[in-house]
Amino acid sequence: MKNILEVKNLSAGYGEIQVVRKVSLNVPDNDIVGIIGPNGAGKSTIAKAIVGIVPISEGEVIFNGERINGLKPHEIIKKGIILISSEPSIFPKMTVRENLILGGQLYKNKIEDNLKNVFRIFPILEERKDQRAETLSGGERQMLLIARGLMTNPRLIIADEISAGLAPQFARFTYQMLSEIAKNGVSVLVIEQYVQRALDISNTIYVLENGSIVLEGPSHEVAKHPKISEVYLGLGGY
Amino acid sequence: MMKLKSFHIAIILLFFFFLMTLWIESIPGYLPVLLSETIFLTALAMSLNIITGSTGYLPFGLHFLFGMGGYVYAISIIKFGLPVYFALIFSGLIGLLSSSFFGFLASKIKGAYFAIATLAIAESMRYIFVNWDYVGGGYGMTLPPVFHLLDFYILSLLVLVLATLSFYLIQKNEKLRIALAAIKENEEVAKICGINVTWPKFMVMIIGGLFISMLGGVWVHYQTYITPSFAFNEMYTVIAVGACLLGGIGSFQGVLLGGLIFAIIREYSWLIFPEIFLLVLGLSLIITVHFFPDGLFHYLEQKFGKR
Amino acid sequence: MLDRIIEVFLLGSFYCSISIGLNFIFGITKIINFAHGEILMIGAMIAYYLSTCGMNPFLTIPISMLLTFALGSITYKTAFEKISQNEMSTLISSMGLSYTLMTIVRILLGAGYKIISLPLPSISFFGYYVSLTRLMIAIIALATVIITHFFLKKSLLGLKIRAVAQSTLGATLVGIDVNKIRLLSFAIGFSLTGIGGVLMGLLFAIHPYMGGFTCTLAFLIVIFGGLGSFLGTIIGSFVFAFIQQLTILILNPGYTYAVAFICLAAVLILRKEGILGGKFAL
Repeated sequence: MKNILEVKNLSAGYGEIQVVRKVSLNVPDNDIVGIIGPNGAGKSTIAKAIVGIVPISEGEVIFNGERINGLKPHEIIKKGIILISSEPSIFPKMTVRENLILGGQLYKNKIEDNLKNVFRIFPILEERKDQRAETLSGGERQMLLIARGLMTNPRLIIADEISAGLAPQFARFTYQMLSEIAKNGVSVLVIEQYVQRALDISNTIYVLENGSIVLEGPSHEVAKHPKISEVYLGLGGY
Repeated sequence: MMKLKSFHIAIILLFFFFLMTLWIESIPGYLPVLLSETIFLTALAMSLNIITGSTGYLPFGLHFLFGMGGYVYAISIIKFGLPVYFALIFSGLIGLLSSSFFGFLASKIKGAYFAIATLAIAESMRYIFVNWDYVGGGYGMTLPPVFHLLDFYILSLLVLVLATLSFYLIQKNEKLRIALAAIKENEEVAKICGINVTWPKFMVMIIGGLFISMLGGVWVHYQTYITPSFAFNEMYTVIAVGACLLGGIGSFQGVLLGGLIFAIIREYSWLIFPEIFLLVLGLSLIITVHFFPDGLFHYLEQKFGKR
Repeated sequence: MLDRIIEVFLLGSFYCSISIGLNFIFGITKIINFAHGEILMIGAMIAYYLSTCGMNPFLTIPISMLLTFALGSITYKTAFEKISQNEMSTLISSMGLSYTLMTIVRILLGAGYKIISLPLPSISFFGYYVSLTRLMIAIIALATVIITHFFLKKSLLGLKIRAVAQSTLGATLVGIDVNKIRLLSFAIGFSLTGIGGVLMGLLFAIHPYMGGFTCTLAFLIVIFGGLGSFLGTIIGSFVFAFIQQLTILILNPGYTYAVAFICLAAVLILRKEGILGGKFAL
């Protein structure tokens, strides 16, 4: 089976501090892969490095057969990767509609179609389409971010802690959406602090600690691993 | 951050300059003027260094302090007939007063806003003085022409010594040094850690201001005249910033190097084309900020120093 | 009384034109450009030299816009791009740029005062005579403001620019080439200033050192109204004109700028973001 994303021996970080050290992982085409680990392990850094926001000091990132490490973020995103970050990145003073249009600005012809599609998945956004983004609630903002990410018909979605700060039923709903979207040929790389959420949705899991992968494998096997139950299941659940 | 070792070098150099006073007038040619201006510019840069090198705050309105000192000096000499050293003391006092205002500002606003606010104050001073007849309005005042290069040299050197000493004492005081370093690094965090940020900022501001104003008086003594646009000219700020930055904030040798370079450029550009000085000044700021953010001296030290 | 109101209107509009570019650049790139006055001066110089060739000064505006746009692109690449992360560095670099441009113009074009003569009639307005030149200046200034506003709100490029201003991370994540937008914004800001420069040249005597004063004035207006706020700059311009007229009425014409500058310092102390600052109308 072909891999849509291959990360080989990636080291990345800010200057002298290499947060991520020699990490390798693969995301098979049309599949969902999860990265779990405690806070500060470097999960977000991997996501940002793949998209080109954090500098890579060694290693390779191959997307759809092409080397993308070293490219500028906008070039990488153009190739079909989307990062949905948990950090604030909505455009607060713009309307929901404007935020979404910006999401799709790379493919101007498809904007109207993509908007219809996105409104179908998230009807509440259509309701609020002329409201300024800063007036949305936390959950609605997350939806906006996901919707904005979908506006480019990406082939790979990197979801970095997208359920952060959401109430449990909202978090469940968000991941349900994600798996629905994944059924349509989109690959997903899920990054989560909450183990159960990642285990439920992913087929393969990588466990990251202190910048390195300490465990990897199919989710059902990793879930049974003593390390997970003893260390993480306290954090687990919803 | 000044290494204590460089203070020893500073003392040696200053002593050397002190000895020079004995011979300064007998050296022919341009060298005495060049040396005097170097000392003057170094003193100015060192005074700025006290403020900026310690806290990272850059008072773009430095020429406000300079001009105030200059005017008080001129008024003391012309209107009150005071002797030179008394006039200088008064310049210093006005410096303390004026810079305490800056210090107050510093406790309210930071960074770029602080810089611009001080600039606005300096600019408004110019207009106020232009309309003030007591100081001669736009025409300014002229001082009695008792000019000796030796005076300029000694007075500049005096201020330089005092400024360097102050900087040394500030750095020597453990508590103060740490507080200032914290402020320079990240003021918000320093506040959260419980460090009193207002007092250290205020203190270095008035000490630096004291010397800047005195230098304003020294400059007026050298030039023997004063007008609002001459006194409150932002060029002094730019030169001080340039010398300080180019040479290297925080080290005596760096500041001296900056002062020397700018004095040389100033003197020799008069021979070629006076305006060249401003052009070089401008370009040097851009170049320094891009290639020598820690100063030329630090850069040279890295390249040719300890191996 | 009416003549004072007309004066505030004319002056306020003019002030808009000289400060809009500064605000534009800061709002989007966070660069505080101390060379702003020199760009105005260059715009004025362009107007002067083209008008001596027979061109109507108002028609020099497009050319000034083009040339200052080019200048903006070059200066961004050389003096700002690499250090754009550090606020103080850009401040110092722009100060250096200010002196560099000032002196280059002085060396190339001489220090003498140049005046654009444009003998246009005065028109009568409710019994008061208003110079047609000043009226045209006000109209062009306001037109610039309105066009810029619509550009930012309605065009896709305007949308992208606002995106970069509101969230750099967000803009990166939607695939916008943030650096290119910053470069463009900088150049557009220069271009807007180029318009103000031409207008300034019609009102004041032109010389290489005229930048310093106008720079401070523009800064006052922009900070007064709030750095980054489009609406704030407009309000700031008119409030400023108003304060000046008030000072002339109550005190003495010589004090207008002193009062104005003191007001700025006061505003900065009381509310450091300016009247509408912190809120991006962009």
